[in-house]
Amino acid sequence: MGAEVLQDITFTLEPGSFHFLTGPSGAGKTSLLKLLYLAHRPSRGLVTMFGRDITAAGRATLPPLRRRIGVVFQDYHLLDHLSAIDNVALPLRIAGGASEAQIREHVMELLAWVGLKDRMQARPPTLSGGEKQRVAIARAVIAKPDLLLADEPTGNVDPAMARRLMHLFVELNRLGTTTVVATHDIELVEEVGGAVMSLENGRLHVDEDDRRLPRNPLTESGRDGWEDV
Amino acid sequence: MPIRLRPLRFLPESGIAGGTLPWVIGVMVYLSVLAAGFGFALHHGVAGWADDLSRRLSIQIVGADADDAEKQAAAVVAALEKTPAIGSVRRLSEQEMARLLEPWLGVGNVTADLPLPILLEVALEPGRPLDVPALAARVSRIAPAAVIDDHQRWLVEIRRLASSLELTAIVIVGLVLAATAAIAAFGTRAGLASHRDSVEILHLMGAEDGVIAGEFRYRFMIQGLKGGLGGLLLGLATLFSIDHLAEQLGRGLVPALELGWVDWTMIAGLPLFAAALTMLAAHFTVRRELARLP
Repeated sequence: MGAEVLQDITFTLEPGSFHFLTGPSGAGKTSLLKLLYLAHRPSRGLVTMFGRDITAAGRATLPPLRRRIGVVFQDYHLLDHLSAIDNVALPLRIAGGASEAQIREHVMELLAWVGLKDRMQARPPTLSGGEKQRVAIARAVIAKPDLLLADEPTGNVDPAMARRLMHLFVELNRLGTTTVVATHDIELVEEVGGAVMSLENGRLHVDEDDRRLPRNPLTESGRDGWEDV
Repeated sequence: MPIRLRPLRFLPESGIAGGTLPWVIGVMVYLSVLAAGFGFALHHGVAGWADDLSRRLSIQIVGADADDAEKQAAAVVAALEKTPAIGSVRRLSEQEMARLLEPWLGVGNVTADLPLPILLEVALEPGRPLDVPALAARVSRIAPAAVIDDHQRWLVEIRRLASSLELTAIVIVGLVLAATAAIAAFGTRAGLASHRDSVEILHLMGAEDGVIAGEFRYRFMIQGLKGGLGGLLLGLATLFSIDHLAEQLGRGLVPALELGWVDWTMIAGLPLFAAALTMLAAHFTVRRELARLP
């Protein structure tokens, strides 16, 4: 077993809360997110999600929980041989229940919204970094997850698109999705507001005003990013 | 676990098993078709031969005195003709006896002064049991010089040889199919290794192990079927070619390819069996690998 990356961390994400997760590189942001999207199990301690003790839960109980979590991975994790539309459709296809026509309609609408109307059939290797990031974000939010975890989701897009994507996160949060956005972008944090959790040397400091709500960067910051997209 | 009629299709259309899997499975099915074909043909050939032989008896009357031998032979024929389980009794002519001896003595070397026994060929009535020891006892009372041969010694040897060859064929088919499963498992592991990222993403998105394994099962089943059908066609072509050549050469030791519908069904089912085996090997390999993920 390797060295412990996170130590003595205690926090609760209230349903519908919005948190930024900040901290220098190597502070453990990605490790914390991995614990939250159930890619890792804690070596000790207790993680409870959706009313379940994840530490002791059997493997078979985790997939339904994972389907309630949307993740924007730092390195996108797109499937290179699938088109943008098929990448975004994956969570809906995994969940089942929706017809293929419904899935396509829903996916196309969302891809158009993130500015990829003309890139729907493109495969990830032909997409730019920013386009990949938008596909990854669309995939994370398509199934309206209960928990949205985003690891540096605006790292490869211009400020206008960053605001537009944050708008998407904030709107989703207002619909009840608990959201955690890991970022280095302090300007974005200040612009959007919301509670901040900061990690340093594997230890977590939680904002005193843990219930602070985020502002919509498109409609409430005084700047309008729509025209920039 | 939900049953999916439409696979997720998260793997690329081609190259999942390196492209060589259908070829290898084709070769495996080809070998098993040959082994099964020869095994079944041998089984039927020996069974037919043994059945024919078991419905015949030979009675040899060896006497120093030719007249006495003739009398004993006539008495035996008369007694046998009255026995219900005996279908017919035929005395071999001197020409037939000479032909039987030709392989040992050479053509034209069977002269009139060579003392030959009297040979009776007895055909049994089909479906009517015969107490051979009782018949032998009766015949020896009538004709002390008579020696009865029910071919049991040969039959036992032939059946033993045939059983060994059949068992060998079964072992070959079993080994070939086991190798097919092993190859499929290696292929799956290679496929998993080259698509580990895709599998992990699916896993993190909440795809059940069965759904992920289902994609591999589907792909490997298709690969197995493709290769298997190729192997079957090639195997059948080889079997019929050998049978045709053997027919032209007068058969000899090669049994005829006269198989029953059960045998043909089993041979035709080999590609399906190989595909199912490939599919199962892929399934269990993927499930085992997935079990290592959290």
